[in-house]
Amino acid sequence: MVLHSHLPFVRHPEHENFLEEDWLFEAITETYIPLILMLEKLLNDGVDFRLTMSLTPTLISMLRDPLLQDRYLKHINKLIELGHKEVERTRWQPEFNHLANMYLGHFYASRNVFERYGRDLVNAFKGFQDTGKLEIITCAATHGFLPLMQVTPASIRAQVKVAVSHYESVFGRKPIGIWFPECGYYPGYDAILKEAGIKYFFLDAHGILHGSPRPKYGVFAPVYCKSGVACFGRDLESSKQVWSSIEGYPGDYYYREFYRDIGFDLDYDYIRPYIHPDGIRINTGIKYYRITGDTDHKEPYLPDRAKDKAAEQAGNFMFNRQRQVEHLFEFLQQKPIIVSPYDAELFGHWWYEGVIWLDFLIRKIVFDQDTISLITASEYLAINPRNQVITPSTSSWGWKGYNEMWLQGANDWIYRHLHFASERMTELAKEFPNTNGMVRRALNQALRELLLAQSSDWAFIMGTGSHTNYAVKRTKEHLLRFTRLYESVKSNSIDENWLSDIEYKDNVFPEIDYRVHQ
Amino acid sequence: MKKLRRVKKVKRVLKKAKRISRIKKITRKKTVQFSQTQTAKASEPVKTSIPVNVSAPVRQEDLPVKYDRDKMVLQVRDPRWLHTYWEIREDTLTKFKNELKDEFYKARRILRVYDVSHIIFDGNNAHRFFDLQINEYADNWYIEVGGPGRSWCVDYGLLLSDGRFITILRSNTVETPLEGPSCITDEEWMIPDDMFARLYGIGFGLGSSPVGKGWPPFVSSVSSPIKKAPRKKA
Repeated sequence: MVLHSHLPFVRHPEHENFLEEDWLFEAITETYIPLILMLEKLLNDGVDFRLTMSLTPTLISMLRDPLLQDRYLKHINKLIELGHKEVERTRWQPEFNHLANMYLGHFYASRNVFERYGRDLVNAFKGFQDTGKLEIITCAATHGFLPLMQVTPASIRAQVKVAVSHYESVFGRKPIGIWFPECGYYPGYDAILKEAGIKYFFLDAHGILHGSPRPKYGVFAPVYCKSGVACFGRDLESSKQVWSSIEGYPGDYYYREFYRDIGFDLDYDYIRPYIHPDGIRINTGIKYYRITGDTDHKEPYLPDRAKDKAAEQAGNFMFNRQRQVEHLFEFLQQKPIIVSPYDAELFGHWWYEGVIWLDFLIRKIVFDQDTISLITASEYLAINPRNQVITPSTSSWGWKGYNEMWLQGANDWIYRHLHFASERMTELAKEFPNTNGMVRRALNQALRELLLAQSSDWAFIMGTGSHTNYAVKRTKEHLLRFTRLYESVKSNSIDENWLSDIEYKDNVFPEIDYRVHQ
Repeated sequence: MKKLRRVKKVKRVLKKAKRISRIKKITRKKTVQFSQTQTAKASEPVKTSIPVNVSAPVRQEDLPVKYDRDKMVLQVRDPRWLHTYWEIREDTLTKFKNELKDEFYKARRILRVYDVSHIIFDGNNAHRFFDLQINEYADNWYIEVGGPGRSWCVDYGLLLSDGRFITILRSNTVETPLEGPSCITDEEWMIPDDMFARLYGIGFGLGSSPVGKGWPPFVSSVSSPIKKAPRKKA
């Protein structure tokens, strides 16, 4: 079981209220804190579980950022205030009042968790990792889509090495595994992982199944790349049960409807203080209806029924994995591994009951049966060190399975600029092998800007066609800052005020060393 | 009265004409920015005029359009399609103009796509190649190579009226991924074909993968014994 947690770096000190920062705040309240509460309870109840989670370097950076922490506290306090108003407003509507109380309770619990870990939720995950039950893996520094950096391998190296040293500074040890952004892979760059000391990564099913030579055990055993780094393939059957928009669990009619939020539903003057100050209606997280059916008419949400459904579906998922494993064991004559990776933000944020489902699933697997068990990739490799060597195939887990999501009419223009900036960064790293003072600061900032421009999120957003202005703006802004830094370093005319300003704005990876870009 | 109406009509017509010419200007400008909005197939007859995507906003107003260098980059989009972008320095073009004189203006701009699988390409030893004629304003192109598991390299150049091809730019080499299982097997990790076919089908779940079509005859005949319990809708 792998949960991939990622958000792009959306920190905007220049404005008090920035719409995109809400992505982080929503994910904290609806996904990360519910997961923390679940993991705490599992540990308190002595459940011997195993779970793998990637926390991307940009997400970790934001969770540890004092400005964003302050803003989250303000955000949750506002929600508590709104929660109280909702309890009052729904006083004579029993079908909603218990829900208003449920949300208010969760907002208080969220603030409590947030303060209990000293406002730094990464501390919570670090603690779980130290128990040996949660394995936290890293990801490329800014979630850059690596297959489209093939012509600039120095950037791939920088994405990996910056991530690894950032992980070390946060968790006090080296990462064992990595989640490739979007599972994006092309043969050969696993050698860079080897250099960085990483032992394994994950690919989509066809990355393994179309590898060469043929993988004897399909996706049900890891393979080694020629570099010696292990690679695990995604099992699509278990993925589909959760992901599928038609038959996937999250579509159950008893589950909460994501698109009926009071931020959009309630009277404008009433909700005005809790939406964006410019009057743009946004999600508050308070949603009173269930999916109900394929209809616009929605019935009030019934949390107990939804919980029963989650338990039932967790049982169904486990049952299916048991049958799958029995079938595979008979067929392969060795214990198969089933890799089920999901985006963490699916759980709680999109699929409100997802965390409850996961909690039931983990407990059922640990206590109710002995056909299957939860395991981490590193434990599996320790028990089964002998595996086939193959060259996996170029692949991603995105739309159509390759690079098209990030390389299409809407976003292909960015690569001309990204590649050129990357070549310039390599040139700078070679030209200035030893520097200090302001030049060093400028060079480090240049690498930060380049990495931020490379986030796969921008190309992805341009590809989806919504929110594109923001994605275009971010891409350009970082590239333009990079260019100015490049030119000012080359002409020895660094404007210190401006440099300090962008160091403050784009303050990701404070300990970055530009020399990794080679 | 009649006269006044006529004057008004003339004014309207003039206004309209102005509007049209403004639109045309904008369209011309955008042709330079957006070279190929519809991808061309290798096998299709060569297109000389390039459709313009007027609805797409101009996105690069703050970034330079060119970086004053000779560069061609080739990337893989999927097992059957590549993407290339390029830029040529004015100096370089002038050099060719001076050398070729009139021939330069008569020449066709061509992308020559070489299959360079398993060789060290020296410009002459490709297994095969095909040409795509492109607009002189184009600066990027999607290429359907239709060949999974092969290596490719592209030249940007001029096809002269006497059939000679002059290379101006050469891209890097890329390899398209396979679309189905590899035909290479491993002696030590041997698996019979029918067993692998079953495993392949199971690996793709119940056959919903966007790419699980590499082995249709086998895949359609096998699937994991697991079927999800049908969901009851309330």
